[in-house]
Amino acid sequence: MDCTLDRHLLEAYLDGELGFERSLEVEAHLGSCPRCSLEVQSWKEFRSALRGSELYYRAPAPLADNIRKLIPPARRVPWLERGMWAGAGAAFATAACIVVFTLMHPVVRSFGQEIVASHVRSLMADHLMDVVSSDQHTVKPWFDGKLDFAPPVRDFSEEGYPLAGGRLDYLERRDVAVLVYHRALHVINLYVWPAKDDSSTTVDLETLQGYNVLSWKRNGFEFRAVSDLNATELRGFASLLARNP
Amino acid sequence: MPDRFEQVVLPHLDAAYNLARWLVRSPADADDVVQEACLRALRFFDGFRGGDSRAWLLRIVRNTCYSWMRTNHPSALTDAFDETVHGGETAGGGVEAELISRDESARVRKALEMLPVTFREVLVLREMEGFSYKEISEVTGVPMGTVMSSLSRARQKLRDQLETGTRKEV
Repeated sequence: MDCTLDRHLLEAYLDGELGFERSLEVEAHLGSCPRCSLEVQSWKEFRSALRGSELYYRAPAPLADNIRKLIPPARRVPWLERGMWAGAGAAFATAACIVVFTLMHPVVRSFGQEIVASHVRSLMADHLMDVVSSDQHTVKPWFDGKLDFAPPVRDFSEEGYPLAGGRLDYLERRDVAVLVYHRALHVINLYVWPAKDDSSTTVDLETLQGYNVLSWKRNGFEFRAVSDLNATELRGFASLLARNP
Repeated sequence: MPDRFEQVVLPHLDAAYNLARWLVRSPADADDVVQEACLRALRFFDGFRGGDSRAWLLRIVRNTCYSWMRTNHPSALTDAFDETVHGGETAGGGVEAELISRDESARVRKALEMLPVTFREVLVLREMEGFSYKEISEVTGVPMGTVMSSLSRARQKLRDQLETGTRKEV
């Protein structure tokens, strides 16, 4: 058995660091190379030994309390404590305004802007899709094991919104599913993640940096559709999704 | 702001403690280091522009661990194979040690503890926290290509360590 597969490639594969296509190449190789598939098996066993809960040290309960205690005094404005603020009211107010503005500024960036940034990145960085397929039965299972939820996946080719593929993204500190649709030459990124409750909302439109962002909640999922497509056709897409849960 | 700091930091406290515990290798020191790291995080918090708060916090924890080791245990940073831990572990003996030696995770723990600190950190981040190469690179400040190769060497070392350990115990 002459196997020339790079060992690093095998590890990158196990670490989920290869793109979709190269992963498929490695998988095809594993099917025909007993040596590599044995090695993958042994890496997996090794990994499960490392991931055993007994090796993970959880923070002792008092630690969180101690850290909470650190917060208020450290955030207090020291001038107040030293009593040096008398007569410096105006200066303080100005400084406070600047501080508040500076502190608030990053928070002001809305979730909508974050999604538009992700949409733009996906188009720029050549990372639109991890799984390329117009077949919903290929795209849906691809998410299995990559997310802790199963996003609804439907193809709307007949209605003029063909499914092109999917990928994973990270927003608001959680993994989200992204389904990619086409409408003529436009790309629609549909972001899906579990909602906090089962309530449904109407479809809201927001326009940011020239992109239309539709937001709605339905069947326990949050949806955001982002595209440079005009609002009417994008709404048409959203209502297709609403009709086909 | 304190509320927001709590929301950003406390959810990652287990990850912070686990990393510190594996780097400094003592519960009491890990506790101190995490508290110190949180104080630093609080100081730098205004510079945190959102994004991956877990990687951001772990980077501070990691750097705090390294300064702690530089001051208190400089040899821990340079040793290829740490004799202090190695010696300490074998001193137990008796029935108890015999029982533990049969326990798979205790065996792995021992082997992992003996690895050089740079190997421990990539293994903890990759295998226990599931960080990507890019995130590991953010936490450690090491380029992505280097992350990949040191991870590979770390795994090889750990496997070698486990094999020699097994032979000794059989």
